[in-house]
Amino acid sequence: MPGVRLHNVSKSFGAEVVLKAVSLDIADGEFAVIVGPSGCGKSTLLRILAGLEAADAGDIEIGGHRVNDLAPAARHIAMVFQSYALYPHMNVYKNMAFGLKFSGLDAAEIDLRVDRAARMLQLEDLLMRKPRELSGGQRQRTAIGRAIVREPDVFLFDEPLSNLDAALRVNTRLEIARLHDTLAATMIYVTHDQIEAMTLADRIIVMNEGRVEQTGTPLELYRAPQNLFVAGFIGAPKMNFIGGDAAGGAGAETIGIRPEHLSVAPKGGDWNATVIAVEHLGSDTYVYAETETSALTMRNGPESTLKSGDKIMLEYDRAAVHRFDAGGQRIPR
Amino acid sequence: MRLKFTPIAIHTVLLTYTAIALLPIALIIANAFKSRRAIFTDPLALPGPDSFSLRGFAKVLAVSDFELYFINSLTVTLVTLALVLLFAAMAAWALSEYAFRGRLFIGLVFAVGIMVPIRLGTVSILELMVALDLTNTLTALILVYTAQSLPLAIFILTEFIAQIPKDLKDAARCDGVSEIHIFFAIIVPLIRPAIATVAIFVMVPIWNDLWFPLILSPGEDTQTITLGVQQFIGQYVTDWNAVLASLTLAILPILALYLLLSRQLVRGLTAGAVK
Repeated sequence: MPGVRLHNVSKSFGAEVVLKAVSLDIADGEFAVIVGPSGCGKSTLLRILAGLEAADAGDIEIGGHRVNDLAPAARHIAMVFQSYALYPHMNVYKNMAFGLKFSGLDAAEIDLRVDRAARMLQLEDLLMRKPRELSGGQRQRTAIGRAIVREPDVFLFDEPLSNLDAALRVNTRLEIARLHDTLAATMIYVTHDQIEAMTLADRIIVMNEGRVEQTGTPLELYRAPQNLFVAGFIGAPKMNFIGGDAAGGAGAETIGIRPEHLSVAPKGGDWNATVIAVEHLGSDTYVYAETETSALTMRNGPESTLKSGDKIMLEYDRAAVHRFDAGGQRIPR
Repeated sequence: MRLKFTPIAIHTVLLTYTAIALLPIALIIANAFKSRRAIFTDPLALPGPDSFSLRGFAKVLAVSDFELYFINSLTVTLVTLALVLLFAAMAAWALSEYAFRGRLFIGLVFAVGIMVPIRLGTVSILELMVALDLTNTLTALILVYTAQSLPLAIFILTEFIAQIPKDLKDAARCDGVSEIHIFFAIIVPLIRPAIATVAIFVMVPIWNDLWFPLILSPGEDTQTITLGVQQFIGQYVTDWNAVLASLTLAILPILALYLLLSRQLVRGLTAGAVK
């Protein structure tokens, strides 16, 4: 079973510690998304998994075998790069077939695999084109095709969508999700975009400063973030963090309230606030307001009539409050 | 205040430079087609009906072993070119891609090689060639020219190879492509323009060199074209028709090679690789 295990993997570049004893367990067939801000070590982790970078310490297992000392090609992985990394002097067909030629497959089998991948990714009409004659989305699909033809146990994606424009990003995201359903292979996907993580992942691994902060399904992370970092990173707009009396009253150092759990009080209410900006998204309205002590974001329905400068009273849903202690860790309900 | 150069000013400077550089060559070619008297009476004139003469060419082709010199020059230049390009590209790949002990030192040795003229070592080189019994062979010239050309070639190619995106090599490694195949199937095709540039840089001084053929291989059978021309230049009498005609002929192959290589100097070869 080609699951992936990392055990206490550490890595430093000179004096800079990039990974601090990271342990992970990714099941066979799982779609795991590693998410975190830039510089958190997520790309390095992926490169160590691929064998492009050596770990300073710790074990890497793929399919139950220790692969620390194996070359990338011997690990049965395929990687899709953020920059696509297509061979510029080869056409789409050759880009996909190039690696296979060195794996001892006969020409007929190579043909078959490339054709199958091209059909899956709608690249059939583009096989003779060079990368420079392709659009961004087509290049990305070629890069994915190059990974598919290897029929790897594990797919590694390094921010594959960040060079695409917004509309194409959504399309390609759906294609990758469909691909995972079709191929049923283990996929590990690195991104800094929490929306990609939420939409694609069976399981999200949140990383920060070289450590794994929390792992879990998207909704687990959304509903029960283990600490302030995860709480702030997962969910858009960001969770509101409030200290002071309101938190003290709840027995916490800081409380976190999701924007959808804030509302305008019909009467009474918790905080006096002034609206400073309103964003109408059609289905939602984001209202940015300031109280005496903090800035709050509220999610309202589409018919919100609030406008900048309005004085309002805000209240929050007591049942949906996240509580955090002085160390930033979650206090269980 | 920032200086602004108008296109006219820029073109004036460039055209002036081009004219200065091309004038001697134009003079050689023009005078090669003139009679001896016409060369001396009016060296700046173009060949006219009165002054036109092919005597120089006839003499060069009839009297001397011109074809032999030609083939010698061509052999030395092409073999050197092949060796330099292969070794320099491989060395540049190693220096830019792999971290190994002594990398900086080796890089420095090559950098010093660019700065120190190889002619300073002529005496030792001659002694070495005598000891190896390589005097009056084309091999001697090829060896010296290869050594002479490698440093600059490596320097230029290292810069180019370093510009190839890291992801491209990593992608190939993930694809199971061996390092030697990465070099020949990915790196070399991508630095083709750089290789062509280096080839031109390397080829011209070798073709034009008089020093080492004169010292290492002055024998009848191994004379290169620059050396062969010298037989028409005497202490008292110089056969200018023959000299100019042979120089004109000598320009042709190098010009052909240049045109061939400059077609490789296409830009944007890596377009579409990344992003």
